Amino acid sequence: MAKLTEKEIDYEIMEAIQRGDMVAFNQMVDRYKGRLMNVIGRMLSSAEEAEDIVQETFVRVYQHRQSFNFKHCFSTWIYTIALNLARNELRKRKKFKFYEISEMQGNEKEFAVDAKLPSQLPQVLSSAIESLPEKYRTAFIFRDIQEQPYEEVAKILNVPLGTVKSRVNRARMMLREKLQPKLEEHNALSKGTLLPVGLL
Amino acid sequence: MRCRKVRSFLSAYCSDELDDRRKLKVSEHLLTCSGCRREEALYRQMAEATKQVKEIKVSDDFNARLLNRIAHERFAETRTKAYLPKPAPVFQWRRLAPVVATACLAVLLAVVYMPQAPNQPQSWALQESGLSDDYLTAQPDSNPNMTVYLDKGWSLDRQMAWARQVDRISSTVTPVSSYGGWDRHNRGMQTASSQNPYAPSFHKVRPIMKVYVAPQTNVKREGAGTY
Repeated sequence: MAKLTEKEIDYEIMEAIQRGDMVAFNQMVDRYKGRLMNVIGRMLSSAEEAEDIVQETFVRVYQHRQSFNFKHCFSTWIYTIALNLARNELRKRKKFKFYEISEMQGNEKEFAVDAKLPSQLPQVLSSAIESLPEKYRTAFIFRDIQEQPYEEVAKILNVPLGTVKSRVNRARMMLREKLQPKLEEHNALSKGTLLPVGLL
Repeated sequence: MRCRKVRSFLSAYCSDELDDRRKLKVSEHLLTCSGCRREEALYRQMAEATKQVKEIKVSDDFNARLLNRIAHERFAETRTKAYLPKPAPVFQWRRLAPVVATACLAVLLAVVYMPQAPNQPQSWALQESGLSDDYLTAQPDSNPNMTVYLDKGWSLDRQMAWARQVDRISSTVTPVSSYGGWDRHNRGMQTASSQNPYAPSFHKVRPIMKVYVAPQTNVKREGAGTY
């Protein structure tokens, strides 16, 4: 028996949900709650609000379960719902801030890297991702963190494929510019080419 | 390929997103440029850190709270559809449309097929015999011989209409309506010299029915005149 693809599994579960199967709905929640939270959490920078948005997404999926078109990809559909809800929330809060790279460079404390804990680099990167402008941040999260294909990201964001590639590339360059001093310092300390001042 | 262009491709190169041609050119450049090699190392480090970025997780009671909301949603759906009283019937035009259309059609058919009242009262002979009025002619009142002015092939209605028109015109052009009498437009008595005794006058028209002899019978209709 051939193994079902992710898409086919989603279709089977969705058919069961349309028949009123709540066990299938619970299964769908378990499949997508982590992915949605990972995206929405980085967009809103607030775990509580992100959870509300993710819950509202699933409620909308349930409300419109009968109108789902099987010609489309389920993951694209649910991501689009979540993204629209998150954008509405951002618009409502009006807390969206655009950080220029030059503004971030002066904030040394936020992106301090401790050479003794190289594993902090992902945390620093996570903070840097949240400081990106919304359109670059969304594209970067879907492509590099969620590892979605470019074509699907283009459908979710409703922009051309070239625009997605351009935004992802731009996001990577912005993150590299922000993290470059810290990365070089981390590399130097890990190689032993730089000594801590107190030991001199 | 120059450094500036290579560095714009480096992030895609490190993520293995470049096509073979460009990948080859970038690789060739990296062999000779230490600056670009340092950049490549940074991008690879960043890509590795991206994979290790901690996933944001939901709270432990996420499923329970969600299913609670869904239960409320299901109850709201059931309540709306099944248990609420049905709204009072509202006058809907679409229900009356077939009735109105049928009524209009019946009226139209009645108007089309209703026997039309004749413009002129038919003579008793026509009504009784059912014959057409093709052979009826309009006769001037004063001169029974003036039917030469009228086309005998016309129907009675047409003859009458033509007679009236000629009468109207003649009364306008020649004020004398009859010999030695008052003219139509009350202009006073005309002298004999200004009158045209031969001007046709169609004050009255009287249709004369010709005698119709049926092929089988020789019954002459009562009241029919001979012309």
